[in-house]
Amino acid sequence: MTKMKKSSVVLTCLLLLLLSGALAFIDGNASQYIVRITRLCAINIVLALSMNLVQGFTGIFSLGHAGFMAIGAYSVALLTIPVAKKETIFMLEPLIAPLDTLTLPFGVALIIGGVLAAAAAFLIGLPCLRLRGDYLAIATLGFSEIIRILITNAQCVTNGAQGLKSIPKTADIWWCYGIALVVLVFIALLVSSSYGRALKAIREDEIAAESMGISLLRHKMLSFMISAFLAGVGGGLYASYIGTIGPDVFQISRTYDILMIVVMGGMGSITGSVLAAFIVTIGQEWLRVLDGPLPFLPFWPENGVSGMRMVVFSLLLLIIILFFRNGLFGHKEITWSSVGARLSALSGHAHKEVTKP
Amino acid sequence: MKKFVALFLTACLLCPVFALAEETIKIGIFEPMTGATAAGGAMEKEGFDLANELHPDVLGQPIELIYGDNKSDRAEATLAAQSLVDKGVVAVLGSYASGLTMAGGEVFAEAEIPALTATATNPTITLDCEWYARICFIDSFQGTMLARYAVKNDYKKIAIMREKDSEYAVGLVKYFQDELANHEGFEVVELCDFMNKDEDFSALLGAVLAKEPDVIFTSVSYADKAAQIMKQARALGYTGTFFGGDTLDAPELFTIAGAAAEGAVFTTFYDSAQPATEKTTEFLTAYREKYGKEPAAPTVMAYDAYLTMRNAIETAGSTDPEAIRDALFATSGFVGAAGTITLNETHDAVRPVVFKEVAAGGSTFFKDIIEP
Amino acid sequence: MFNLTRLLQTLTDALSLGSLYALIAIGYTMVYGVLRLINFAHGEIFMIAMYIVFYGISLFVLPWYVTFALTILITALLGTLAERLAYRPLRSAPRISILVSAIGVSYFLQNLATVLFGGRPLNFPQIPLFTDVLIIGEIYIQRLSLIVPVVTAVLLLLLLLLIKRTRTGMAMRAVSRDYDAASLMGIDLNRTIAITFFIGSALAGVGAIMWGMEDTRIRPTIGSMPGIKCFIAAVLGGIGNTGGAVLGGLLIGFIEIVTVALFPSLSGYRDAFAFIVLILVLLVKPTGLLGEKTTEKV
Repeated sequence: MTKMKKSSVVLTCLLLLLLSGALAFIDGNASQYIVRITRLCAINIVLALSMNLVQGFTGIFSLGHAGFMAIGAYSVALLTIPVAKKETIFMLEPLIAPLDTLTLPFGVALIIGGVLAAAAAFLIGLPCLRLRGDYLAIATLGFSEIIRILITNAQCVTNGAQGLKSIPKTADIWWCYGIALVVLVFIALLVSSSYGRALKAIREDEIAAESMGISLLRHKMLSFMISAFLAGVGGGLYASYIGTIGPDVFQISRTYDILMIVVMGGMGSITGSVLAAFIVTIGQEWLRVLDGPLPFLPFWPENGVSGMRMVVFSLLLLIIILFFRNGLFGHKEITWSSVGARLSALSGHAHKEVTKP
Repeated sequence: MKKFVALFLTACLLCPVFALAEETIKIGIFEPMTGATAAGGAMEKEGFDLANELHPDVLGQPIELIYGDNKSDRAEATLAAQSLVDKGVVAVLGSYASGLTMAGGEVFAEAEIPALTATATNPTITLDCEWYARICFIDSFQGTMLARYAVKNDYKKIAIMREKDSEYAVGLVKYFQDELANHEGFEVVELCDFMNKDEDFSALLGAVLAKEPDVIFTSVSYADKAAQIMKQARALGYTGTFFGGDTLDAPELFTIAGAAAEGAVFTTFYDSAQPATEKTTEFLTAYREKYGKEPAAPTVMAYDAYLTMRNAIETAGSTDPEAIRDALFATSGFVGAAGTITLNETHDAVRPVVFKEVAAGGSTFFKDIIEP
Repeated sequence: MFNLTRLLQTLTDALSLGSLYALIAIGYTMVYGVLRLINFAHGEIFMIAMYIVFYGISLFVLPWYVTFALTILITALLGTLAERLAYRPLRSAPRISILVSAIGVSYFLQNLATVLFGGRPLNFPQIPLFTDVLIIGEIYIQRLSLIVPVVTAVLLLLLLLLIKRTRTGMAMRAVSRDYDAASLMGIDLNRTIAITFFIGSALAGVGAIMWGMEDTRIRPTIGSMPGIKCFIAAVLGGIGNTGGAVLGGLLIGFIEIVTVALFPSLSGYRDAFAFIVLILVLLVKPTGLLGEKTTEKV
C-alpha cells in the first residue's frame, strides 16, 4: 500500500513536470490564439471545480455562477486598472473615491473579488438555503440577473453599459494554471476531510445527515460560500483574460457553459471536471468550424451557418445527460491505481486474445 | 462504416487547405452576425461585400474577406478577434456596436494590426488605442449637435428615453445633456431608462406624457426600439415629435412604426437623395441592382470603410501592418460614397452631421446639416 | 400629475401584463406539481410559439384564427415531446439530472431558433382586430389589454373545472399529492404527465400569442426573461397551486407597472423587482402565498 502511494507521488510529480514543460512550450511557441485557449482551459477548471463543490459534492443546485464571476471580475478590474486609464474610461461619470486613485496588486485584487463574492453568497444563502433545493436554483438565477442590472445602472462604480477596458493582462498562462492547481489541491483536501464527508452525507440524504448531527445550514452555507469565493476568483482571472468587461459578459449562458463542464465530467468527480474543462473549452473552439463554410456538404450555405456550433454544443449537453447520466466519471476519480488497474486489465485482455487459439 | 468516418474526417481536415491555395491579401471582417446586434452586423456586411465585389484587388493581389462573428458578446469578441489575427489578416474592418469594437481593440492592439470601424461612435475606442481608427463621427460630437438642433427648433421641454444597457445610448444622452445645460430655457423634463429586451413601454410613456414634452428623444442601440416607442406613444395620444441619433437610420424605423414615425428626425452620416460625391452614384446604382432596396447608413459607411482601408494599403505600398496603419491614420480628403473622409489626430473622422426627417410612406428627406 | 385617466390607464396595463404572467405561470406550476421539476424549457416553448405565428401569418398568409389554433396545437405537442424525449428517461435519476436536462432543452431550443430563424429580430404580425386602439373618454386602450384578462379568466375557469371535475384532473391531483401511491392505485403516470405538459404548453402558446401582439420583436432569447419571471410568479403564489400562480402573476404585473409609472427613474431596475419581492416573500412565508406546508418524508 505504502509502495503504491510512493509511486503515486512520483508519478504525480512527473505529470506536473510534464505539464509545466508542455505549458512552457505552448507559451513560447504556439500562436496567441492557442495560448488564449490554453489559459481559458485553466480558468474553466477553477470555475468548474467551484460549481462542482456545491452541485456535485453538496447536492444543492446553484445557478448564480455568472453573478459571482461578475463580482470577482469587476473587483479585479476596478482594483487593477491603472489610475491614468481610469480617467479616460470613466468619461461619462467619474469613478467614486477611493477607487479612482487606488490600484492593488493582481493577487490581492483576486482575493478581494473572491471575498466579496462569498459575502454575496452569504446574503442569498441566508433566506434560500433553508428551503428546498429548487428555490435556491431560482433565487441564484435571479441573483445573477440582479447583479447584471445593478452593474448596468451603477454608472459611477461600474461605468454602466460602457464597461471597463484596459484591464491589465496579468493572468498569463502561469497565473491561470498556478491558481487552478491551488484550487484543485484545496478541493481535493476539502472533500476528503471530515467536512467533505459531511457534505456528501447531505447530498445523499439530508434528513439522515441531519439526524447524524450534521448542521445542514452551516455546512451548506460554507460550501456555497467557498464555491462563490472560487467563482469570484475565476471571474477575476476571466476579466484579466478578456481585458474588457461589461454587464453583457456575465449572462446566464456563462453559467450554462460551466454547468456543461461539470455535467460532462461527472457531478462529484474532481478529475472529471478537470478533464471536461479541457474537452469542452477546446471542443467549443474546434466546433467553430461548424459556423463557417463546409464545402464538402452539398446543401450547406456558401457562407456557413452562424450559430450551428452552439446547436451542436447544446445537443451534446443533452445527449450526455440523457445517455451518460453520470458524466464521464460519475462520482469516481481517476487515480494512478485506477489507471494502473485499467492498463493491466487491457494487457490481460490482449494476452487472453493471443492465447485463445 | 469506420472507413466513411475516416474519409469524412480527412475531408474536414483538408478543406481549409483548398481554401488557402490562392495568394490573397486578407482583410478581417469583425462583425456581429448573431446575437442582439446581428441586424447592424448584417447591414455592414452588405457594404463590405459590395465594395469587395466592385473593388476586388489591391497591389495586384485579390482581397479576401475573412469573417469573424463576434456574436454580440464581448467575451466571444476577443476570441473571434484573436482567430482573425491568427488567420493572418493584415487589417480589420468593423465592428458595429462600440462595446464589441472595444473588445476587439484590445486584441488588435496587442497583435499590432490596424483596425477601422465604420459606425462605432464611442469616443473611448480610439482614445487610448493606437491601432483603431474610424470613419464616422463620435458620440460627444453627435450628442452636442442633437442638443443644438433641439435649441434651433425651439424644443423647450425635452423628454429622454434611454436604453440603459447600450453604451451608445447612455453616452449620447450624456453629451446631449451637457450641451443642453449651456442653453437657457431648455430643460429635460423626464429622463427614463429601459432595457434592450423591454417591449412594452406604455407605463413608462404614461409617466413621460404626463410631463407634456415638446419632443421625445429616443436614445437607442437600434431603430426597432425607437420605432416601438413611437408607435406606443402615438397609441397613447402623443402628438409631438421624436428625434434620435444615427441608429435610427434603418429600415425598421418605418416598417415597425409606420405612420407613427412620420415627422421623426434623426442624425445620420450622409443623404442618398443629395449625392455627396461621384462615388455615391456608383455605390447606389450597384447597391440597388444587387439588393433591390435602398441602403441603410451603416451599409454605405461599411462600403467606405473598405475603400478607405484599401486606399491605405495602396498608399502604404505593402501589406506590413504598421505601414498600413500609418497610411490609414494619415487619410486626408479621401472621397468615399458617403462624403469626404479626413482623420484627425485622434484618428476619428471629421464630418458634418446630417439631419433627416421621416416623411409619409416611409421615405426620408434631408432636413438640416450642421458642419463641425 | 397622476389624475384619474392615468390611474385607469396604468391599472389596465398592469392587469393585462399580470394576466399574461399568470397564464405562463400556470404551466410552470402544473409541471412542478406532477414532476417537482422547474421546466426551464417553458420560456423557450413560449418563444417558439411566437415564431410559429410569425411564419403562419407573414409567410404562409394563413388567416389569424387558423394560425392561432395551429400555434397552440404545435406548441402543446412540442412541450409534450420535450417531456417524452428529455424528461421521461430521467424520471428515476436524481432530481439534479432532470433539472440539468431541462436547462439543456432550453439552451438547445434557443440555439436552434438562432440558426433556423436567424439572429435578427422579426416583427410579430399585427392583427387590427386585436391591436386597434379604443379611445374611451381620455383613455387610450388597445383592445388587447381588455381581451387578455378575459381570455386568462376563461382559461383559468376551464382549467379549474378540468382539475376538479374530471378523471384526468383527479389523476393529476393524485400524482402531485403522492407520485408512488398514485402509480400503485393504477393511475397511468406517463399519460397523466404527458397531459399536464400538453395543457401547460398550450397555455404558454396562448400567452405567447397575446404577448406577441403587444407589439413585440421576436428574438431567440425572448422567452428567457418572461420564463424566469413567471416561474417566480408561480413560486410566489405557492408552487403547485394553480390559483397561486395566477395570484403571483397578477402581483408581479402590478408591482412592475405601478412602480414604473410612479417612479420612472427606477425603470432601469424593472426586471429586479420580481426577484426582490420573491426573496422578501420567501423570508416570511417559505412556501409562497397560497402554498401548503409540506414536510419532507424520510
